[in-house]
Amino acid sequence: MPRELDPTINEKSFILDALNQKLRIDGRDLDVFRELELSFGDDYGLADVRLGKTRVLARVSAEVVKPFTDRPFEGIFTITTELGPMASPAFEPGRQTEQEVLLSRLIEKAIRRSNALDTESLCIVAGQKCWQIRADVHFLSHDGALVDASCIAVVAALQHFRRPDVSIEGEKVTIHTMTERVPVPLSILHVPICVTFSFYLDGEVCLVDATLQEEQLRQGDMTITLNKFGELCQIAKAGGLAINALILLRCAKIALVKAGEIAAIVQRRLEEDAAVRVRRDNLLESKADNERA
Amino acid sequence: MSLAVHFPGETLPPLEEDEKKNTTFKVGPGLTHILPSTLIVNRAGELNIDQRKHTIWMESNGKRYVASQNDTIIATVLRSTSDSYICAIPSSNSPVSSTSQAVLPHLAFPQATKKTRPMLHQGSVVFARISLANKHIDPELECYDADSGKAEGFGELKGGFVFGVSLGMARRLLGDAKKTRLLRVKQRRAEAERRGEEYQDAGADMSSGKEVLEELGQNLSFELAVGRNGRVWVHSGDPKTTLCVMRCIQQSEFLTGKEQRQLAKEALKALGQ
Repeated sequence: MPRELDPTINEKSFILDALNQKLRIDGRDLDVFRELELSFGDDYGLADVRLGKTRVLARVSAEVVKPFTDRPFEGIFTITTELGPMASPAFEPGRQTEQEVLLSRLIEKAIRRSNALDTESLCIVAGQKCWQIRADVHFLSHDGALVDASCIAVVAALQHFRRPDVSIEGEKVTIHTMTERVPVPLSILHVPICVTFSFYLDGEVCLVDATLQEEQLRQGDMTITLNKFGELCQIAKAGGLAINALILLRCAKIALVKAGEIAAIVQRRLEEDAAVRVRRDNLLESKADNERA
Repeated sequence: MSLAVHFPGETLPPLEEDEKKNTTFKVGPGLTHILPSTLIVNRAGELNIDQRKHTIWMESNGKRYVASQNDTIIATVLRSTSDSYICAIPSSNSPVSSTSQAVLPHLAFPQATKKTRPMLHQGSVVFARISLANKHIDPELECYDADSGKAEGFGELKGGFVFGVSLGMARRLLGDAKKTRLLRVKQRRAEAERRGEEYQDAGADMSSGKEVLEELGQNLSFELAVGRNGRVWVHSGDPKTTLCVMRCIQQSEFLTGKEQRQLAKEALKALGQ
């Protein structure tokens, strides 16, 4: 299996030298994200996120299942992530690496455990039927910042997704097709955004949105997840360089600004997409406040 | 004689009869020779025929490098064995480049003996020539000039920064494009004459690919090495200069000569030169 080529001695010393002078290889400032591109698929629940050369695709789907017996009033929400050779030839299919475990746990904590999705709204008949929402994350190209990109992809796809409408008459549950009734959006409680910081030169320099090359050289990293209101969901720091409280505070402040910016971009793209859909699918006619024949 | 795009698997039509009979053509990359006289395309691209040098080859851009003999390349040392260094030849795919392995014998340096060989460590960058390339075994590298036996710039590249450009861009930086272009202009002119038309050089401001370097070289001092595997090494005293050169080269790939000069001028201005 081809192993990822480590940065050469020249690249290593050059990048660190440049960082010492506050220069990055791609010309960004230290606390600037690469350009975020977000697009949606033709049908609901497909989000394609590009951060520079990193590309992540998230697909949300729903099916009706029996809820867990210990949580009869809640629906089920799962996120699956798999790093395959599509992203980088260094990733083997089927075998979980440490990086992959950390990545999936980070995203899980950021989105599922922070209650971004209201699982109680997914209940159809208590103890018998509920919606299972599944988010599949596909990594198409790996140029660093996989956590940040996949978090954006999942929250965007969740907000974009529409599940079929359901009506209940006594014991009988009817799931209406997408054409029969207007599908309903999921109930999203808040939009968490991950911002990953990379530390260099014993914590003197910290970068956001590191590229793959920068990630390979970092001494430590830390992920802060929060929403645009500044509600902190997690701070994840799995080993690496120890950093002091002042730097942590500075990172948190940067993260708040970045989360606001990213959430705004996601929101704007969702609105643009919705506007296109209304025109394309004649959705104005299907609104409840219209007269029906 | 005309320039044409061909796809893999196509059989080339028989070559036009030359004035000189019985000339043998050299078959270059992208073509497979099947005896006695069939040529099959194995890489999509433009067919080039140089009647003067009796060569025929396919020209196309790509990112994955396949080793071929006498190419000068930039490789990375992976590890050392008892008698040779195992190197990786990176291609220019990004963000993660695919690599192929190559062998660089300890004695393949100018005047190297067992005691005086240069010490290379894991992650060192070397500028080398491929001395042996075969489909079935790993290629072999050499760090001296084949004619003189001297270093002539080959060997370890110290300091600086290495980045990738497409294989076509690397060839252009090495000056191949000029040859190809001259050839094309000549071919087009001959074609136009045959049809009895006036020839117009439509590609007058086409790029030779090196304008950006010429412009930068007049104002900045830096060292540069280009490998045919799509890797470029730049070294200068100041990281800012190195980054400026790197960005100019990367951005100039699809620009004409005029635009390249413009780009370099603006970059120099931004650098404060």
